[in-house]
This record gives sequence, C-alpha cells and structure tokens, in this order.
Amino acid sequence: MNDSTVIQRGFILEDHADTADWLSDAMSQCFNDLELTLACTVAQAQQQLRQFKPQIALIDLGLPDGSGIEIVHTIRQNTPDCLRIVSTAFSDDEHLFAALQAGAQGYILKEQSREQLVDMLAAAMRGQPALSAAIARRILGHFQPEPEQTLSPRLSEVLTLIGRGYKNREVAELLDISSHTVHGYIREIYRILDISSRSEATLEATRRGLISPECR
Amino acid sequence: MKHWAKPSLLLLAGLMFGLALSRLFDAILMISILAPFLIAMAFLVWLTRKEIKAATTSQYDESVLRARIDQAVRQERERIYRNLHDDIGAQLLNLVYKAADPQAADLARVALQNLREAIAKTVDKRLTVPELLGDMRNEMEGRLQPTGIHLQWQVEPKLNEQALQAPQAIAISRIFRECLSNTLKHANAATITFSASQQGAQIALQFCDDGVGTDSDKPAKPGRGLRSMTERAKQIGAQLQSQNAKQGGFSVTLTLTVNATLT
Repeated sequence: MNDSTVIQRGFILEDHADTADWLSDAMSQCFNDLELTLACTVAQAQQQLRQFKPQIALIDLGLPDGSGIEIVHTIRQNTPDCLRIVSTAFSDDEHLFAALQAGAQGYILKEQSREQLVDMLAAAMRGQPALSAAIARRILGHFQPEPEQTLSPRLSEVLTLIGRGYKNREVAELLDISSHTVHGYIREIYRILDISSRSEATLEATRRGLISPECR
Repeated sequence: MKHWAKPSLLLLAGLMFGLALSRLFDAILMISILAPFLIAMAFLVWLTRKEIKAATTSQYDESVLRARIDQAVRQERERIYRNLHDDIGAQLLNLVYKAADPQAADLARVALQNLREAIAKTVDKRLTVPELLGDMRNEMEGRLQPTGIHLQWQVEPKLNEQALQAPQAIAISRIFRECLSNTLKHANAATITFSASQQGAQIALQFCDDGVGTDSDKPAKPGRGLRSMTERAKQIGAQLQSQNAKQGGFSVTLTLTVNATLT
C-alpha cells in the first residue's frame, strides 16, 4: 500500500471490549476521519465483511467461535488491497506464525502503550512490518532442514541476527549493507512466507484431490 | 429251539431297540435343548478371550497408556492455559490500559509476562544464550520505551551456541526482568547497560544502571526482590552478584557455566 492512499475504512476484530476500545483509539489517532467497523466474533466479522470493504484490518486470533486466521483468509480473498494486521498479546504467540502464513502483513502487540501502537501501525503502513526475535527464529525453523531451498543465505543470515535481538540498523552494520536493504529483506521474508504457504496449500489441495495438477 | 424262544427273543430285541430309540430321542432332545446354551457359552468364551487379548495388546500396552496419559495431560494443560489466558490475561491487559501511570502499566505488563511464562505451552522449546538474549532485549526495549531510559546493548557476537535447559532460560529472563523492575522503581536512571561476555564455558551477564544505587551508609540489606533473584540463580547453578557500580548506579552480574547439565 503506498503512502498516497488515504485510509478511510478500518476494521477491528476483537472479543474483549476494553482491548477493542484501546485499539480503536490507536487507529483513530493514526488515521483522520476513519470509518471504523468492529466485530467480536468470527461469524460477525464474516457477515460484516460481505458489505464492508476495509483498507486496514486489525485481527485478533483467539475468538470465542474460532480463529481470526479465517478472517485473514477472507479479507485476502475479498479485498486483497486491505492491509491485514494481526493483534496479539505476545510476539511469540504460536498462532501468530500461522497467521503470517495465512497472509497477515504484520502484527501489533496489544499490551503496548498507545504511542507504540501508533508507531507499529505506521511502520506496517510504510511496508516495514515488525519482526520479533521469536518470530524470526520460527520462520528459520519452518524452513528447516533445507532453508537454502527457499531462503537465500543472506536472508537466513538476516533472520538469524534478528532472532538474536539485533536491530535492523545493527544487522545492516554487521553485514555491511544499508538499513534500507535490511528493510527490503524483511519485506522479502514476509513475501516468501506468503508464497510458501500458498504453494503448500496448493500441494495439500492437490494431494486431497481438490485441484487437478493440470489446471493450476 | 423251544417254541417260546423265538417270540421272547423278538420281544427282548424289540424292548432293547425301543429303549435305545428312546435314549436316542432323549439325547436328541437334550442336545436340541442344550445346543443354544452351548453355542451361547462358546460364543461368550470366545468373546471374553478376544477382549482379554485386545486389552493386553492395546489398552494396557505401556506405550499406548503413556500416549493416553500424555494426551490427557495436554488437554488439561490446554484447558488451564485457555482459562488463565482468556480470563486473567484479559484482566491484566485491562490493567495495562487503565493504569494511572506508566509504572502501574509496567507492573501489569510484567505480571502478564510472568503469567505467560508460567503457563507457556512451549516450555520444552530450547533456546541458546544468544537467542534468549534476543528475546530479553525485545522485552526490555518494550518496557523501556515509555520511560525514555536508554538501553545500551553490549553482547559479544560469539557466545556459546549450546541450548539452555528450559529452567535455566526461564530463571535468567526472570532475574533480569526483576532487575529492570528494580531500576524502574528505585534508581531514577537514564541509561541501562546490558553486557554479555564469555570466558571458556563461563558466561557473565551484567545489568547495570546509572541511577542512585543503594544507600552505602546503611549496611546492605537485600530486599525481597534481590533475595528471590539469588535463590533463582542458585537453583540453576549460577552465581549472582549485586553491588553499587564504581561509576555510580547499581549492577547485577549473573555468572553461569553453560554446558553444566541440570538435573
């Protein structure tokens, strides 16, 4: 999503009322004149998303009637231009990785101060999503035992360093590249996750006979 | 042969034949009555034997039993996790939002973090020292951002890559989480320096602030926080040293041997 796009429609899926208030406030602070739609269950979200076409969505994962990952899928299919951001309590939430694979383009931490939330949202908008040490390690682990098939040695290096808590700026210094390049790598990592999950989904569907290999 | 001999022989033979025939009928009758019972009994015996056999091969088979226990434990842990996460986790999150000041919000965040570690499902996930330090840095920076205190991170790039035991990793992160809490509460610091260095198999982790330190006029009286930190260190076979830093402020050093196996 480029900077010139004016964000007018936001969507929040969150079952705890106070958290929903907190996130709404942060969203309104981040974007002027935002039309905000709130849902507190997967079913409600599915229904609202039939009419409402958001440009940015904050999606909680653990909901009373299912997982927000379903909604990440729905939004990706219905409104591919919508920025899909997962809201989670912890950056090493085991469901977060699954959500990134399902097409989430970033995440925010619910426990953060409002300022931090706004910063994280803004960074995701600029195409610089956060990548915590725990998530970086999980991505590396996901491509084991043959990370080189999907990740270039450079990407593996970047992930290893982030997995040890190095900041983007420090990663750049250690690898003697620019911070800008490191940001590019992180975007690339998100993109590979997305592609690899899609190809895995296709493989799985083929195996189950849902899609014949010829018409892919 | 006498004249009566033939008819009496015939009579005798007829009697015997009749007797035999009636016996046969009795036997047939008996069999026809008993047969269903016999069949039913045989079937029951067969069934029981089959059940016993099934029981000995699967139900009480040790590995199957263990798998069932594991599954039950997992389900129970999952249930407890969900309850704690959904109820207490959400309440603590509420405390973060409703906190009157940043210190109170930090307290709630730390409680949330401790709760999460106590009920973590991935407790057997094993981290190396550099990886653990990565998580600790993420966490410290998250806590420090609202305070404006600067975190200097001085970690040697080549640290032991051996995986820590889960209790070691948890103890280390808890000790330094408590350190940061103390600094935020008492120190009035501007900068925190965290350093990690290695000599042989020994790794030294040092947390140092540039705050007011402890009052050196009074005899050192370790508070509850410091005592529990020392206790945690002892449990993982590490040493904890705390003192006023030479350049001012307070420092805590944890020294541990990484390839020491923990039982």
